Formats: sequence, C-alpha cells, structure tokens
Amino acid sequence: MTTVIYLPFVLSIVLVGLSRSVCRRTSPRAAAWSVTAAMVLLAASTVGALVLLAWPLAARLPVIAREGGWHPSAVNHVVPVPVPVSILAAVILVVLAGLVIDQALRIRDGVVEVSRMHTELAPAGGAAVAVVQDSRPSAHALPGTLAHRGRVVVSTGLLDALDDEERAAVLAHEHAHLAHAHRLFVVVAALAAALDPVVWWCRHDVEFALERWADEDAASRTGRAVTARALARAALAKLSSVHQMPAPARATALGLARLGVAHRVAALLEPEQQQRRTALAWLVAILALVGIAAILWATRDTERLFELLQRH
Amino acid sequence: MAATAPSDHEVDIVPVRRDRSEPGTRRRRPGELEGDVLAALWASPEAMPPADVQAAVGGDLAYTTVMTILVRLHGKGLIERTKRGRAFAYRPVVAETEVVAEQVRRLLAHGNDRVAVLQGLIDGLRPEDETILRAMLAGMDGES
Repeated sequence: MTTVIYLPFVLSIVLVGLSRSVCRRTSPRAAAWSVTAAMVLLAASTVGALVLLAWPLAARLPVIAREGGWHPSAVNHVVPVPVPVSILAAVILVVLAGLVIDQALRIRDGVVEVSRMHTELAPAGGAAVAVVQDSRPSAHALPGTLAHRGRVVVSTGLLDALDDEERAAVLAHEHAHLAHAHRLFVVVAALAAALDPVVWWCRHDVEFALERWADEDAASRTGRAVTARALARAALAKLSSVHQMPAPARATALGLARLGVAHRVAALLEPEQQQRRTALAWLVAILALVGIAAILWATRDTERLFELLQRH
Repeated sequence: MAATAPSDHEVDIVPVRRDRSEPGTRRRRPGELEGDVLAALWASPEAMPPADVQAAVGGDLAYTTVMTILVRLHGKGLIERTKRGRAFAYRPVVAETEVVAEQVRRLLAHGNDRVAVLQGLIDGLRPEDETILRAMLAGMDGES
C-alpha cells in the first residue's frame, strides 16, 4: 500500500509532462478525449489516495474507534501511514474542497454570463450566426443553454478582415465547437483541475486540442489552406487592433495559451496524415487507468487493515 | 471514433474512394451535412439554388439529399429562401445587430478570462507571433 498509494501523484506529474506533446502531436480529437479523461481519472485517484492517507487520523479518534470496535492505540501498530502524512493529506483535502467550490461558482457565473449573452442577442432573432457591430475582430461559439440554442457570434471587425471562403472556414470552426460540445470538455477539465491542482497545467493543452479539433473540422469542409489563411488573417487583424489598445488591456485581449494560434496555423499547413497519430493518446489513457488500478489496489489493502484493526 | 467507420444513416450512392481523403468524397457523420451545407451557403456571396449547393458541398451527395437538408435547415429557421425562376434560392439567415449591448462586446473582447464562458477563435496570441504569421501567410498559395 505505502508505495502504490503515491502513484496517482506521480502519474499526475507525468500527465502534465506528456499533455503538451499529446495535444500537439496526435489527432486533436484523440488528444482532447484522452487528456480530459486522464485528468478526470487521475483527479479521482488523487482524491482517493488522499482519503486513504487521511483516514487513519479519523481512526484514532475515540468516537470512531469505539464505533469501529478497535482501540485508538492499535492504529499506530497496524497502519503504516505516518501521522504527519495523514495530517498533510487531510489539510490538502480541505483545501481541495475549497477549490472545487470556487470552481463550481465560477462555472455557475459562466453559465449566467452565457445566458445573459443569449438574452442580449435575442433581439437579433434566432439566427445561427449573430454578427455584432464591433471593430475588434472576434469569433465565439456561444454554447446552448436550456432556453437557447447554441449560436456563433462574430464581430464585423473579423468579417471585414476575411474573404468569403475564409468566413466559411471561421463559421465551420465555431460550428464544430458547438456540434462537439467542446464547452463540456473545458468545464470537466476545470473541475478535474480543482480536484487535482497538479493537472491544472493540462487545461491549456486541452483548450488547444479543442481549437485544433475545430480547425481540423473546418479544414475538412473548407480545405486546409483556406482554414490556415483564415486563422492567420484573423490573428493578424486582432494583433493590429490590440496594438491600438492601452498597454494594460493588451494581455487580457491576447489570452493565455501554452500553444497558440501560430501553432495551429502551422499544424494546418502540415499534410493531413500528420494529424492522424493516436499512439500518445493511448499512452495517456493507459496512464490514467494505472492510476485508478493503483487506488483500487490501495483500497483493498486498506480494507484488510480494518480487519486487522478489529482483531488487534 | 474513426472517421471512416461506416454509418447506418447514409446510403451508398456512389462507390466511395476510401483511399482518398479529398473533401466531398469522405463519408460524413450524421448532422455534419447540415454544417457543410450551411458553410457552403455562407461562403457564397449570393443566394444559391439547390444545384449550386450540391456542387459546392461535394459530388457524392444526391440532389434529393441536398433538398432534404435545405428544407430541414429552412424549417429550423437557419436559412431563408427566395423564389428564383422555378426553384428557390437559399441563403443563411444572419442576424446583424446593432442593439447588442456593451456587455456582449466586453465579453467578446475578454472571452478568455473567465472559466467555462468562451474561448475565442484567435485567443492565445503573443505580440511576437505577428512576424511568424506574416511569414506563413506569405508562404501560402493564393496570397493576394
């Protein structure tokens, strides 16, 4: 138990090391699925490991020991987890609970904002594409809610920067986000990152994979060259509009990303065959399954400890 | 998962050249057709009759299939049609609005800074990307 139980922490670090390569080198769909799934599974096994490490603390409480039918001092003889480790695990669990609540509130705020945007766009009618009069180039997939269907929101600033072919590529890109429920991947990844802060660093990689996924979807409809051109033009238009902003506003306008638009354009300029590799994605999936297996193993050992305690 | 997996929803009309991944000959997933048709309509500067849509979307689609999709999209209110000769011509319904409040603009400009709200098409730029992007555009065919 003692060694296997620390495996999820190690695997989380390995995932962070791998996720960037996975999201850059494998098929974006496979990358988004495997890294998001691995984040969830490793987050679950990390929390499981912390619970298993923390419980001996509770087992030492007289109330619980009486209920369980063992003597509090027996825990010291039977359980191989040192007390400081248990205390640390318990503290981390409390912090994680706070992070999850914080993240859940942020997601709720996000849903509220999306609903508000739907309401504000309502006067524009129920069209699939809403064009907003705004000289700053932008295009977004506004996810559907219970009351509203998802729609694409583009600014006149973006449309002005592109020709018709390129506009079609942008529309196809945003449509792909909606059709494949990409927002759910982001929400799930954010929650997993709250449970296992180590995998926090994978979030940007997942977002990059989702953008690449939508790019590839658009490319399959409008062509790789057109999609690459649309992205590059849109990005340059945005950069030139950002140059006119006051310095403090620039950073938020550009957005954070470990891998950005330039990488996406480069990927579209590569031949399609290069985008089909999935081997690394399988590696990530196996990694996550090992994490779950480790926790199941440790849980079984812990059950045995309970039996030992009661016999002591 | 695999894009080449056969789908029950589509009838084989022509023998598909599976070894070529040329757009238009590739098998589509159900629902994807609507997106393709919308994209084709969006790309066209003016309203398109079904035959033009068929040509734009790809050779493996039957005229009737294209008609069905157009009627479905029209039913959903995503496209509008006008009588042109004996047939209808279709164009996407695009709402252009000036009533959109500052709120939306603000959100669009800062889509990335709140978890789970929105990520923009072109978020994730560094000022130094400008040179790289210009070089890439210059290297592409069809650069004007």
